[in-house]
Amino acid sequence: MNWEYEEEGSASADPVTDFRLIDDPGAQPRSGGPVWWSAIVDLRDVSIDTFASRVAADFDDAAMVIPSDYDAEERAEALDDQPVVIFATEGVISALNVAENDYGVDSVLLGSIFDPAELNGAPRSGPAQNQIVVPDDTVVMAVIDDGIAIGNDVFRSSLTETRVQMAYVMRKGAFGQPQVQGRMIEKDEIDQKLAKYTYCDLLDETAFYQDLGIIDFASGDFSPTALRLSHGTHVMSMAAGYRIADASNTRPIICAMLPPRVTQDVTGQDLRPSLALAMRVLTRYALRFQRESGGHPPVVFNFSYGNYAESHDGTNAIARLIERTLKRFPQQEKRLVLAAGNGNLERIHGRVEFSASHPENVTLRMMVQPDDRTASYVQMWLPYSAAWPPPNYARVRVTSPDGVTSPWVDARAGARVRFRNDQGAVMARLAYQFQRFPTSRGQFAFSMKPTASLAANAVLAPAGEWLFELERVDLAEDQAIDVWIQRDDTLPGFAPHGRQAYFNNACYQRFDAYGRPLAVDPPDTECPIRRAGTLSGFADGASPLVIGAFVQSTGRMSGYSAAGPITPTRGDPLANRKGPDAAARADDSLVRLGVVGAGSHSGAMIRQGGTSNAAPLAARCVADGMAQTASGDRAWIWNQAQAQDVQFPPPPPIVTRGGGGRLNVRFQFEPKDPSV
Amino acid sequence: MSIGPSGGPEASIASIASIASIASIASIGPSASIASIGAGGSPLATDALITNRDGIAGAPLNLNPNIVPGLANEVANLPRLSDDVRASLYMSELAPRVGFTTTSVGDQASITAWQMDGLTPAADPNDPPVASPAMPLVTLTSPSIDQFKAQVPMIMAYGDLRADRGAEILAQLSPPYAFFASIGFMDFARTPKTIEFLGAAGRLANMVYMRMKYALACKRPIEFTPQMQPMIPTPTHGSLPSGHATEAFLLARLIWKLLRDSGASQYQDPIWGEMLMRQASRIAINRTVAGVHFPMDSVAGAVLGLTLADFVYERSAPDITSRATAAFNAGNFDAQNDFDWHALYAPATDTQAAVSGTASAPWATASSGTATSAGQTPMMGWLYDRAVKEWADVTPSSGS
Repeated sequence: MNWEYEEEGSASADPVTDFRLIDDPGAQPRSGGPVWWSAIVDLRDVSIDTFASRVAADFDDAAMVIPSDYDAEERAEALDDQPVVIFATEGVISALNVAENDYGVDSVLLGSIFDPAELNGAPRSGPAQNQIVVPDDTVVMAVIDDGIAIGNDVFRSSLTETRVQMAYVMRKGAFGQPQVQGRMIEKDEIDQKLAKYTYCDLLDETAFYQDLGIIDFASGDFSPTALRLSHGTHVMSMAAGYRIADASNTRPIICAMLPPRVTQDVTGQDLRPSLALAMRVLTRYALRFQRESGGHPPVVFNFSYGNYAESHDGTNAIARLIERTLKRFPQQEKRLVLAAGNGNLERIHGRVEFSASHPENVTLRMMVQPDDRTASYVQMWLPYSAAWPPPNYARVRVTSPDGVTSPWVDARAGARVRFRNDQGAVMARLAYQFQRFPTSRGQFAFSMKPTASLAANAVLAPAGEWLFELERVDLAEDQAIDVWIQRDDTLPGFAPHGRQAYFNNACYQRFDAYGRPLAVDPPDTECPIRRAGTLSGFADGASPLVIGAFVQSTGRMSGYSAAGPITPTRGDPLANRKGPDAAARADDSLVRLGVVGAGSHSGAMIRQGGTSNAAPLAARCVADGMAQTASGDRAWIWNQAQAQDVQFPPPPPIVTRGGGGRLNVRFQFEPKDPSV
Repeated sequence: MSIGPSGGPEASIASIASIASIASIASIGPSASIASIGAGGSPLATDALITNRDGIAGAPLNLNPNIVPGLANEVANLPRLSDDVRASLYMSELAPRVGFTTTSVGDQASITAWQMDGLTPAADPNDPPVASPAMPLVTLTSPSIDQFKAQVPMIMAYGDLRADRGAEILAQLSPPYAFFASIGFMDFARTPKTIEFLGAAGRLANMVYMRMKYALACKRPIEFTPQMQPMIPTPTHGSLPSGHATEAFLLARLIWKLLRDSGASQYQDPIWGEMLMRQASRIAINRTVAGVHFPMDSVAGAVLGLTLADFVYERSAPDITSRATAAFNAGNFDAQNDFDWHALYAPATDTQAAVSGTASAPWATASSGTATSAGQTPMMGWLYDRAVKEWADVTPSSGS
């Protein structure tokens, strides 16, 4: 095995996309025929129409589908920053991922492989775009998650009437006319199925979900809603669940269920294009709601997902998509609540500063676990630079567990090394890329293949300790390089595939003097491995409300609850946030971890922990506030948390983990009137 | 659990000893063992009884006891018999009333269980008794291999639920009384005859479905793909019909009939039947989750279990002249479809669907014929009468 340096000049727009397409194609399931991918492309100074026509000129007309959710006006507009969801053949994607291409594409974020039979660019069929008139104090709850049991009684207003106005089910199934990735199921149909499958005043829930295609064993797909505990059901119950007796007609629900095969693999198949599409579909649908006295009711989104990597400066594709989506249709107020993330103790963040103790060279030691069936990625982000070409801040080299060290890779366009086995197959790659617009930062991207596979011919990378040596070149003493390992673990309820790699430098102090896990970095630590900066890579935008987690009985932050700070956007003097905006209950006590929420089946109450649960509780507060004319924005939740924090034992959480403080949220299924 | 000569998990229901497993419902012991009275049968007790007799019997007496013959062929004897003796007697009434014929056309096998009444003595006691005409009870046909193949992905997808359902699946390796006792209030102290009645029905069902499995010889999921890897040992007997589905729907329907016949007001609400059927369905589907059954096996098992429940009921309850008949025609079943018990049975009316699937090509049918006389048998009648009273509300005269 050996490292091979490649000459500059053959740069790709996105090194991870390039790795997945070229170096790691075996990682994706494939069948006969052209391979189709979902992706987010960053269009710059070109309209969607122009982009599409340029692609059509070089490829078959049918080689790319732009979801019908993009209307004619949007398609005609040329913006300097426009992330767009597309579905395209591998040939198109590869062409778009060449740096400085002629299509107007600045970068390509690869999603997952799709069956083209599921794709259709035609306008959506279905019921007329009728208005939904609601009381004036209505706040629409919008939840994006996986495995949402929409028939659960906490989402019903009566035995056979749902509060779910629309569920966007993003999975294949026997849906009749194909539409772009999934199908919208509206209230009328849900109510009809509720009536059809209710016997003796009890819903036959399995039959109900099977009829709607939400549980579909015949397809061979995973059906998370069939589990006792499904993430989305629990989360949505926190955000918008009520007992039927307390069900309010002022909290209609719209929701999107991400495709399970995307959520099952957090690296090899990326959920971000699906997330972007879900947000767009829900945003457009929400416009149908009309207040009785005119105008649109506000919408509160909740998205309890996160990842570890990204630029953490508010410029990544999802952060920008969120901002654009929240600003879309300005006639309707929208809020988005995000989970802070659970990576605080995962040792996935390194902050490399060249201090007096190691002025020129810092080594990060990364443990890659055996039996990791998905690829692992590391992103090393250099400081912002307005200069062009950007400075050669630093250089990096990698040593494999076998002790084979790569050549240095400098911060120069196109610089990269590949690690090949004795048969010449690529096991890993380190590449430099400068993400010019809008991030304006360079990134060393390390990509490596799984360490285990059941396939006979799979190329594997060695498990064990990988060393990253970062050497200062032009980096100033007060500048730093932030390094994140991308999320690669197995989600609860899903079959195990990924195993999370982590940093393992000896200087990292895991426990305090009493043997308890340290939740905050020791003061003045010089260890590059940091809890600070573990905030979810989705949660660095300016507008979303980001929520951390704490233990209700003790008032202490939950150890896993991720921490800021983030990096200022494009060299701004201050970042748009220091961390989460507030913290909410996610664990009842140290021995009763998690909080009780709805299980998949009506009547089942089950514990689930994590910032995933804190976020929807906060979303519930925001909705209640907005119904009372509160702004429900970041400042509002900050102030609410600050005011309620005094109800907990001091001290309040540090700002980078708990924002304004701890929200004191009542148990979500208590009757409205406590005397009942 | 061992894979011993017992023949797999379902076989255990055939043992009367398995009724004692209900004790585990509430961690109480079975009713006091005879052994505790005086350690009878043990070597120590036997030796002691010999020396004891030597010590007290004395010289032989010239005794002429004043004793009358026992009551011949009379159910009044039953309370004095041990559980296992009574269990054999119940089988002596039920089993001879079922017979089988089989056919095989190409790859498709078919078996019909026939129902009969008991033998009628001839006018001349020296002549052989007269057999009643047989009426069809249940006919099952085997699916094609292609149908089974089509259901393999469905079982694989169900496998995702194994971690969720593991405890249930393991607990249901034994007869699932505990699960039904969590709905209908069963306990050895409270409902001993109900438990005995269900045990008798279970023994009959075991004989019937084992015979039908043998005739149809349907292969198990484990033989279709090495990736099936069931989480429990695959029983050696055939896949269709599912024994667990048969037992579960048999028990569910019989308990529901007891509740209805008891007259207790709370049990007249069909929700009790609905919940019992949900339980039966859950037990059946758990076997697919475990990787040992196709959904079609549950369909056939449910048809069989529901119909056998009627058969047992017609031999146990008074004045019943109806004769249930049902069939599962696998060739008409769309293998892309999952198991849905609602297509087969309505608890509110305690009736099986006349037609399941399309009218022109149903995959299941059910109907009811009429016998010339009531089918109740003496011992099953005696047992049912006592079982149904266990569900009636207690009145001031109940203790008398």
